Amino acid sequence: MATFVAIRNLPGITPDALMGAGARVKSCAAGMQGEGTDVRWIRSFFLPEKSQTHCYFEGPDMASVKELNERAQIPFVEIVEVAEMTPASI
Amino acid sequence: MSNLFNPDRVILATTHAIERARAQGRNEVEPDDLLIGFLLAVSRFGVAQIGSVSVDLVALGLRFDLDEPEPGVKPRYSLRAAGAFDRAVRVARGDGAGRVLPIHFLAVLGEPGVPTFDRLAANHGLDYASWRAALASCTLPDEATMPADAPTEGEHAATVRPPEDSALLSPEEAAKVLGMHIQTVRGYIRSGKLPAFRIAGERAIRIRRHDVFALLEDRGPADGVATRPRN
Repeated sequence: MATFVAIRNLPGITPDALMGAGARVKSCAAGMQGEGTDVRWIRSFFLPEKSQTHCYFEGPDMASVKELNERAQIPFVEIVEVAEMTPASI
Repeated sequence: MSNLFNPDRVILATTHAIERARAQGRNEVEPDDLLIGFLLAVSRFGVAQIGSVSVDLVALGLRFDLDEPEPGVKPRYSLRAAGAFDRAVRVARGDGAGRVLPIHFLAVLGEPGVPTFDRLAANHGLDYASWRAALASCTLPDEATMPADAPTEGEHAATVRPPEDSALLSPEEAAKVLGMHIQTVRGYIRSGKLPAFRIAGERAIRIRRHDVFALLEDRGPADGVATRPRN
């Protein structure tokens, strides 16, 4: 499993629309898991000053994360693989 | 807990909606798929009880089983279905709920133009307003309005034994100490009558023991029945 971040520019996004998108991605991830693709939404960070959202996913490959976002109808600028680093890992 | 208020039923419903679109070889999940998914997810024995309205899913022509999905079909939410999620969240917020529940989806999906709702409305002599009125008559349980620390199903007060030396209590433990119902204590927390704190980064709520005891007024001997002024 690799970790990916989907970067989104969402100018004018409302808190309700953010929560609605979260509910969609959660439901689509469950649907894809049922189809045999183990892709998961881990967490998201909203950057209000930039109207940008960074959403982190785990999945077998970038294509599955892209498919998840498309099925959930959530636009993104790009999806890139990330390497996780925490204070505990140093 | 009624399935209308069971957050776990949301994933069950949406999964059914997605599977339904796949089984029919469609590339988009429509609001009708979602409505059917939610009706099935809140039903028991093929009946979805919405207030005084008993929706017989068999009479609506709904099937519980689905055909084998078409290979290669990976349906996405249609824009209209995606919008239903946002509206359900808005309804949930307006309802004072901490999260979006099946009842909130049913409130936005039961609208004219959604084929299953049109059939349901015709069968029951309903319109959009009376559908929402039926949903509104279903009481939102207090725990659904609490964003955190809701007791899990099966958890009950009898299992709660607060340690005597604990400075902090959970809402369940506070209810036990006060000899009150947990929902009453939650109401006190919501209204600010009982100060409560969230553990940083966690969902759990804790109450200081001395705040719990501060609720107990010393009424004194002069406040008894015998000293009450006579009319």
